Amino acid sequence: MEKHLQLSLSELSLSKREINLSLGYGRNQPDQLIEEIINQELQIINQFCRPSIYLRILDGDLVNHSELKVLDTIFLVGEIIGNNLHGISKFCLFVVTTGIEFDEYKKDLRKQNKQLEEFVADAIGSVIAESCVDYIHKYLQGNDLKTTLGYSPGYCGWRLEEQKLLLSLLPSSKCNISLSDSSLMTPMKSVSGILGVGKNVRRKGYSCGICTLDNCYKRKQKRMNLN
Amino acid sequence: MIMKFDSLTTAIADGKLESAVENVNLALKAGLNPQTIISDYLILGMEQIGQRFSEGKAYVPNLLMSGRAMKGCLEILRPLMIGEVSVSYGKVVIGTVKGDLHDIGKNLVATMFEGCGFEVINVGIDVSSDKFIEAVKENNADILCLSALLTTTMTYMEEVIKALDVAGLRQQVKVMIGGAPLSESFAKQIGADAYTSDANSAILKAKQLLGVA
Ligand code: B12
Repeated sequence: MEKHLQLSLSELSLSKREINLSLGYGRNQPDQLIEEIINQELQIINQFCRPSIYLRILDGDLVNHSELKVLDTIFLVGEIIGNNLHGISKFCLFVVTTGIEFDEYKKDLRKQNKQLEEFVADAIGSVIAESCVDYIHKYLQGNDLKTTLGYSPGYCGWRLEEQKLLLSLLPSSKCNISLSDSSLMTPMKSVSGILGVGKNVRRKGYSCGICTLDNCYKRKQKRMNLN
Repeated sequence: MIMKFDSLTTAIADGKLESAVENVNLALKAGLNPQTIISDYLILGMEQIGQRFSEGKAYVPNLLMSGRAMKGCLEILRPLMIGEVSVSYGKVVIGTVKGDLHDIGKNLVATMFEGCGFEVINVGIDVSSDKFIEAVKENNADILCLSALLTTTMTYMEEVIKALDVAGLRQQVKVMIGGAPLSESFAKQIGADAYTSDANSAILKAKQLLGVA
């Protein structure tokens, strides 16, 4: 199966809580002025941003504890991810993006020296990209497929450079996503990855639980939220 | 008559641009010189918000609002200071290294430096070692700040440091590095002078490095 979904922000149902988290507020509420800027930026971004999701479901299997084979491509996903993909035979390869208009909007804010607005818009862009990944799960579940967590090159011991391999299996010309020598995607607010799918797959662990970035500010905030 | 302008410090700490500008004008009218206004009142406000941030009582948007208020005040004061000795703590060249386009964190660091009394030359993103060297030379920088958010680009920092060495500039400039995948030990490994994990601690560290803390 191959699919391109183009969405409006309302279909993504962005969470205010995630935006606050992305801005560094943890469980606390931004004060009124910041709240107004968040709403204002959401409104502007809502007018032009049509995020895209490209996905392709392919057969594959884990050849050993850290290598995943999809078609003829071998991904060195590492042990942490490998452990979570054990016994799975179908994989959804994906790339999501806010679209280049978002980068242009941010550039505009920068030119106008609107740093606060730029910071807020940046955080919203990150949440949009992450919400697109959440949407893939919902979409597949709606098609009667269960999903594992999503895994991305650059996380959990899967080298960032392998994005090149991953994107080569996706219809990159249609995706409008380009990759630099340093494996950076343009548009900036894009996420690539893979997730296991099937009627019987189980979701193991949770994202912070397997991530190796110990000093991440998101982890710190989530920890604070639990206390 | 000595007048106190604590409300100016408060306006900066609270990120209130209009009130800060208003108070700067009042202070000028009362005869305070621009240098005193900056060093005795404005920078104090930035330090207060920095302190609140490090205690978890303020957030990045607050830092940016204070930075904005500070900038507004400096725009009024700087033109009045032509010919006077600079009040800057030092000159900072900052940029994101070659291959990397992340800028939001780097710009935040730049804003805080500016607000806290440093002169900042922001050379942008995707910056080659040549360009860093040129900027350090041209501006006679005290600190070079390098930012990278990716494991594929952070390695370039070592090249920049080597290039500084080759250009004979390594002794005259401190190198600070930052970005999510970096660490203290990476800084040591590549011969940088310091790593910090956020914009606020970057300022404290910079002052330490320059002996102005
Ligand atoms: C939000 C986020 C995203 C967003 C937005 C990214 C973007 N480009 O705008 C989305 C969801 C789109 C995303 C995508 C990806 N991401 Co991402 N992302 C993050 C996250 C969670 C936060 C980054 C951020 O915006 N922080 C907020 C800003 C303000 O902070 P900052 O830039 O770090 O700057 C602060 C400090 O670092 C410091 N600082 C920065 N520069 C300097 C310089 C000096 C001198 C000093 C002293 C201090 C300093 O001060 C700043 C202010 O306090 C980080 C993890 C983390 N906790 O940081 C991962 C992270 C950067 N991402 C990562 C990865 C791998 C990716 C992807 C490649 C995943 C994928 N395969 O799709 C993509 C790449 C996107 C692309 N365009 O190519 C990795 C990168 C590590 C690596 N292996 O290279 C990280 C570190 C996560 C991890 N767990 O490892 N990501």
